[in-house]
Amino acid sequence: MTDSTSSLTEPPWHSPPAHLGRYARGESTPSQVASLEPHLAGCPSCQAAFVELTRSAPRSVEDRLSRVFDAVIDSVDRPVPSVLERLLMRVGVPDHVARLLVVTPAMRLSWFAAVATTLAFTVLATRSGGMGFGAFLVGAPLLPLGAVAATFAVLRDPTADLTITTPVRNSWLLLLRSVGVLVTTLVLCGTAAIALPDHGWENAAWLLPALALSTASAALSTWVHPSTAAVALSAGWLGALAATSGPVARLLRTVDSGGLVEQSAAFAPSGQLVALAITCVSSLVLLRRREVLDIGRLP
Amino acid sequence: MTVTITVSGLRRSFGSTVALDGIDLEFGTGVTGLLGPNGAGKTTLLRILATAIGPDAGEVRVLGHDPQSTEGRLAVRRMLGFVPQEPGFHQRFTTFEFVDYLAILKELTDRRARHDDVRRVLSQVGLGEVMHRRIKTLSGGMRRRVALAQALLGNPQLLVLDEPTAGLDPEQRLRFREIVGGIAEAHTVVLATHQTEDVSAICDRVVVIDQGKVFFEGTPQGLADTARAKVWTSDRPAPGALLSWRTSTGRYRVIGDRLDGAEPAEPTIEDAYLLLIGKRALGQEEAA
Repeated sequence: MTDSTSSLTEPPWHSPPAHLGRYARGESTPSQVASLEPHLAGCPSCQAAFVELTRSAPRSVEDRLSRVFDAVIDSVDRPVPSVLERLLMRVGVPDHVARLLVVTPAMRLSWFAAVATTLAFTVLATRSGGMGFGAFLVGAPLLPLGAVAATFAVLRDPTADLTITTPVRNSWLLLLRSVGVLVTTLVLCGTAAIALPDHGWENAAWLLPALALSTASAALSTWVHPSTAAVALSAGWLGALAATSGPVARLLRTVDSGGLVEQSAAFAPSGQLVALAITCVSSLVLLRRREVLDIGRLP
Repeated sequence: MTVTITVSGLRRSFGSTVALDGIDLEFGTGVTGLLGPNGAGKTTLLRILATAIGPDAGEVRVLGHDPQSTEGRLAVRRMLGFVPQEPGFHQRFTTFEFVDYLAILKELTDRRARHDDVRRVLSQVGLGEVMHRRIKTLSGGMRRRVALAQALLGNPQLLVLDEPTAGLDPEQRLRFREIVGGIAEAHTVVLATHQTEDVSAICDRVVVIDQGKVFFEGTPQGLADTARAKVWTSDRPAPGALLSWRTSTGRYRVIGDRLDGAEPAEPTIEDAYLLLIGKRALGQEEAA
């Protein structure tokens, strides 16, 4: 009985052993696979060399073809990443982490577009003298606060029962998403701060209050609903400004450079230290109460 | 039966409402069905087993782990598939994307392997053809199957299913039984249901629960046997019985004391369930 492979016509060329070795180890690129496999299917010598390399039956060729076919199926079937997912993956975020991030309510292009537009109008109005630099300092910390509150609110979403019983810790998931929205919102606010008239270090005076409000919002959300926490903190922020510098309306009228910082202790170095302390304490509270986020005892 | 879950003295309240009132139970490999009326405590028990909530008091051991500890909870979640009573979905996801999202949360981070598993479970529940349709376009029955599909990811050791057949048509229900029956050979499945047909079709054991307490624990046949000599067929209705209704044969099925001229009938799980729970449900509770 004649071996079926010996009846094949021998092609005029043969695949280099190094190529066959890479293919056997599954290390060939798709284009190399596409070139090699038709040749391998019709070349007894290369088949024999391949069998020798893999020390297995010629069926391994079929197995490999099957795996390539599976890969083709997967490339057709797999979800098309959203624009945001692609952006995240481009900056090095693994695809599965990007998928977890994009479900975050505040992690949507519409959110970023709204924040960017708001900030752009603020910058334009400030530069044209239409509103005070103080308005930016008062409002900028509230944007990341809103983003983090919306992120924590996701735990009350309809899929909470499914996600809370998965091995991925909800506290980790919320932290990941909060960091994601915080970083991106802070970058937008920071960009706006740079575009504002130069007031020296005061251009960054919003940053620590923003971090304080955001972390306090996350910590408070282990006791009360995130929206309640966000509203209470926003009111507290405006109240603190009014208490330290007079009515907020007067703050917003403060156009002169340095005026707000001089008027409100919240933006003075002492206020910055208080914001730093709130950030640290809130982070510790969140760390201690993270179990609440993992077992479904949320308010 | 190999015991895989034990609960003892389990209590859980929501405000002034007592959902579980000191329950002691054992579950093992195979399918255990929880039967009980609305508000009986079935969902609370399942949510505790699934680590979605913790108990107020009592002990739980699931697959050798204590879900009340952080490490134990994580270990249980790695071996768990859970279908909640009212599963929610991210509506903007497609079916594939949603199950893929849950697969990521179940630590299937290798994309190819994860996608293969997503395709496997979607095919298993008969949703292979609609995997690219958005969740919001699916029917209620299809969404129940999406919820079941995500529970099957990673071949979990423990499946906790809260009314998994609600909203399924007869064909889908048969398919569900086939899937769960195949899994239950080596795994633990605990399901809550109102469908006594599901219990008799696929459950090795049945637990009847009401008002946070266990009223029966045993085999489906054992449950049916509790109604022996209390189920009859008669040519006329029985106003004094717990229940009587006209059947398709034209005769009346009577649950309760024997009537003159009535003949004994083979009891079913439904008859026994009605006898156990029906008196309270019908406001006819008798003094013990």
